[in-house]
Amino acid sequence: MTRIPELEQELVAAAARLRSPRRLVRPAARAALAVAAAALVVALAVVVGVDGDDGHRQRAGAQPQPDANRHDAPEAFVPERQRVARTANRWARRFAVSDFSSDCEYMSQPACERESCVRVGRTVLPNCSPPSQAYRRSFARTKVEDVDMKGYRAAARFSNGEVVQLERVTADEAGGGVWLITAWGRNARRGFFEE
Amino acid sequence: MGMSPVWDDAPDDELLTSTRAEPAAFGAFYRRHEDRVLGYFLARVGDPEVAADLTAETFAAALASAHRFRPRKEPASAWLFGVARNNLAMSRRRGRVEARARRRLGMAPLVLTDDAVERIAALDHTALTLVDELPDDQQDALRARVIDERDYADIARDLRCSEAVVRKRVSRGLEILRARLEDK
Repeated sequence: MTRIPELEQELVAAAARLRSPRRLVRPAARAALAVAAAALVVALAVVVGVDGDDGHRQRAGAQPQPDANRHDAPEAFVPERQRVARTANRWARRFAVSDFSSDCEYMSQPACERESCVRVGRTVLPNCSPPSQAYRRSFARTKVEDVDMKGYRAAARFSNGEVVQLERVTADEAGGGVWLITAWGRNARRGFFEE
Repeated sequence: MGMSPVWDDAPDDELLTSTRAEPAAFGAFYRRHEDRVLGYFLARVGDPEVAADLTAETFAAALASAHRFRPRKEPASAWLFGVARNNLAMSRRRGRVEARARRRLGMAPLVLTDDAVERIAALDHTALTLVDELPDDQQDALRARVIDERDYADIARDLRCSEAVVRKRVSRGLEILRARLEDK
């Protein structure tokens, strides 16, 4: 027996409700959906092609740089690199002005705890110093200039020279996961942006 | 709803990928990881009811995204604990336990019996409390390796040191824990 048997029952019942919606779709409707999906893929390919051309025009011979302000599409349709840049840019804007005790937006829990040096439950983290105000302010007008990705981990380099590390977690409902800042400071670039 | 022992020996990856076709598979996944997830939250929030609520939301979020789960090198439990960490961080940020995944799945609010609260409170988290007393570097290595089940190379990258150093920190941390548990 589990410790919360009613939760197990609820989860199995919810899983049963989610069971294979494909069975409810008739073959004719399925074919129509397949055509619509193919049309969507073609449309997306055209959009991605246009984006790629823009990137090459901006900097010949260089990788297209992420611009987190250009895309308003739903998260699931935004390329991973731009999602990383978008998260890092949003984090930087808040990090520059926030008070460490009140704002952990876009950060993983350990990173959040290291920012405030306090664990959930108000245990103080030993040997931990919160970031200085000067360090915070250095992110005020900064913007992501480059992104390096390694699987579910990534690093973003800002125009102030600072690097932050991010990790993808898979708990959102839109699909594809969300990126959270896991480290910042002098060691955050280790393993990334290798020459 | 009865348990389905047929799934109890299946690996985690198979349970998650089978969930959409066989709901009982997720029941087995829940049974296998319930204690560890509850213990994880209990050690961090100290309240059995809040821990139960966070656990319910974590498994609901895992269920909602199980169809996107693809077996990888790292164990499925690492994926589950990624969901748990994210859930805790979000709940902490918002000052309340998230219920979005449960609402989306149409799950009833969790009402715990006194017995269930006692069963959760009885989860022995002495070792986890002792982990908090270890030096920071050993704590980080031990939590990442033993609780989150991450591989050494991954932890080494995260902690910016070599794999050998991580192994040494984990082994020293475990040695200290064993000694302290024996004292207790």
